[in-house]
Amino acid sequence: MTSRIRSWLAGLRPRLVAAFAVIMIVGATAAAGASYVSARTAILKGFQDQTMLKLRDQIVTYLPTVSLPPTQATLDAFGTALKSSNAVVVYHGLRSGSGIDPDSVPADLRQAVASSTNIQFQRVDAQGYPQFFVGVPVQTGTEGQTSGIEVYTMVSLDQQQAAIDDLSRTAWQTSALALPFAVVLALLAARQVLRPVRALNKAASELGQGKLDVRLRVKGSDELAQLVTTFNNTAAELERTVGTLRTMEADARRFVADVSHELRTPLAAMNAVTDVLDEDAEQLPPDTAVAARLVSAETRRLTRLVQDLIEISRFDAGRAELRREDLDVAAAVTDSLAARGWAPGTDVVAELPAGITARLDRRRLDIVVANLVGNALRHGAPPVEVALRVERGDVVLAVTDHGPGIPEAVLPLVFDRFTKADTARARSEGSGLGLSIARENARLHGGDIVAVNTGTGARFELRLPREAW
Amino acid sequence: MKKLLVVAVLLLVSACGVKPTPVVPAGPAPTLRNPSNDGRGADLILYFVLDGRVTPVTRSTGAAVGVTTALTMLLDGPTYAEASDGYATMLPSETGSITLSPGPPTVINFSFPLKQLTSIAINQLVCTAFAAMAAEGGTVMDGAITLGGPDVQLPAQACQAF
Repeated sequence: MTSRIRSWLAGLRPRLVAAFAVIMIVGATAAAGASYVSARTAILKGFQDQTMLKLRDQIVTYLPTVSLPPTQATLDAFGTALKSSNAVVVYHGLRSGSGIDPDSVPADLRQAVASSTNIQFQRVDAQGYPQFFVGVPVQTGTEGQTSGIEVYTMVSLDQQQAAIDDLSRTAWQTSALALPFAVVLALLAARQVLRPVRALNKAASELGQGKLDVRLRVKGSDELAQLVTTFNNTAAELERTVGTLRTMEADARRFVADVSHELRTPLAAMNAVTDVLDEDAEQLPPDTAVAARLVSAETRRLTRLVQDLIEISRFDAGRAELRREDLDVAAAVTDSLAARGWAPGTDVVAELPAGITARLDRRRLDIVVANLVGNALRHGAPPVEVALRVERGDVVLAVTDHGPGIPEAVLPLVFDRFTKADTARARSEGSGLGLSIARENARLHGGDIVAVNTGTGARFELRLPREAW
Repeated sequence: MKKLLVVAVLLLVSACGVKPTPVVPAGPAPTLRNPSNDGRGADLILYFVLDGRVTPVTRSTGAAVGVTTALTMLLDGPTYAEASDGYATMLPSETGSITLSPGPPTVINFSFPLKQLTSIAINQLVCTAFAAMAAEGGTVMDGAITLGGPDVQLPAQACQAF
């Protein structure tokens, strides 16, 4: 389950979803943030400007009625006139009776107001409550001297703060709202991409399993469609090539089969002649006798080769028939050995426990045993051990020799046709098809043969199921 | 990329709410001309109405004028130039004798009824009187003037800056 989740997470879909979500959130946040910042600036600036302008206008209106130096009564009257702004008027040590406490004004602001002829403001954070302070110095004369009269006011920005908080909440909610949209869009996009990819994957695995006629429908003209087209072309070309190769191979096999059949009749005649020659060899001149024996031996060899070729052609053509019967395997193997004159003794050591029965084709078992033991005697060294046993419902016949073993390079090819272990030995007794035929027979039974090196020789293990499947 | 991300996050975090500012200058301060050494007495300040607010208008007269003269000029209304700048008056265009009896409290009597005047009109009279008295250099009153008419005597009041 966890591995499935992990493989899903490693896929294209979550990556697309994540990318879309990030892009959407960044975009929405940037847009919401930008509008938030500008709206906040507008709110604050509007309110601050309004406050300052109102105070300044009130001061300008009242100023002509003031004369310097002001008395406490003048300051009080001034303060009363500015009552709607909640402003306090300060002149050196004096202050008007109404308005805010001058000591609550930040020192920075007081200093700035005292030393300049500009209106000054400052925003202060008083334990989470933003406050807006304005200081207005009154200048006098034409050269911009300070008159000493200063007007201060403070406005709480609580309402503005609340409005701005509201704004930011809206901005966040808008951003959050974008997320499900992003996910849905990403899933749609992923579907768009993944469906063809999945189809392609399925088709490719079918192609890999040998279904060469698999094709996909091309939709649209994007890169995926191009990929599908390429896949279709590849599959078509592969099908064509494989078809050609199969035809050629079939032709070749048919040719071999035909040739073998055609050779059988003349060989039969030749065998008859060589038999006669063999019988009469002793009455021939010595040179002629040697030639006659050579011709005779080669003719026998050719006969065996043609028989083997015909046999293997049957397998290739799929015309090999299996005739199962109940066998005592030990007895059948003993018969095979005896029929070829390999009586148990010094060369062949047989260990055949009685009572092992199986449904096998007697003729084919004989061919396999003859080939394996003959091969061991030819290429290995005696003693050749033939051991029979039952293993997990299979009959296993091991043929072990004590020769040099099979070279590692040849081991995987040992059952191929015309494989020769010793390339230096151009001619051997066998046709070069014996092991191939043995394995084809084993496979026809639903079994197999494997070859291994024991260290002191080679071992071929024939494994046949006791019952037909 | 990482730096950008950090900057973006910092911006997001720091950009919320109302942040304190340092002291920021914002435009020139209003000017008060001291009558004693700036010759403010030569300027006559009249209060007319601009956008619903009582607003001072400066007229150069060349010499100091008294309170009654200033009030008479106020009752004459804005000049053509001032009117075209948007200044108006809420006072009736009536003239008549204006008598000033110095206080305290200072009492100014008009020959037209005051009951019908709006508070803005009253304020025009009060502020103009205050400005004229300040320009004369006289010690200004306890912050209140009493206006009187043939119909009513209004309570003492100060110049209101709306």
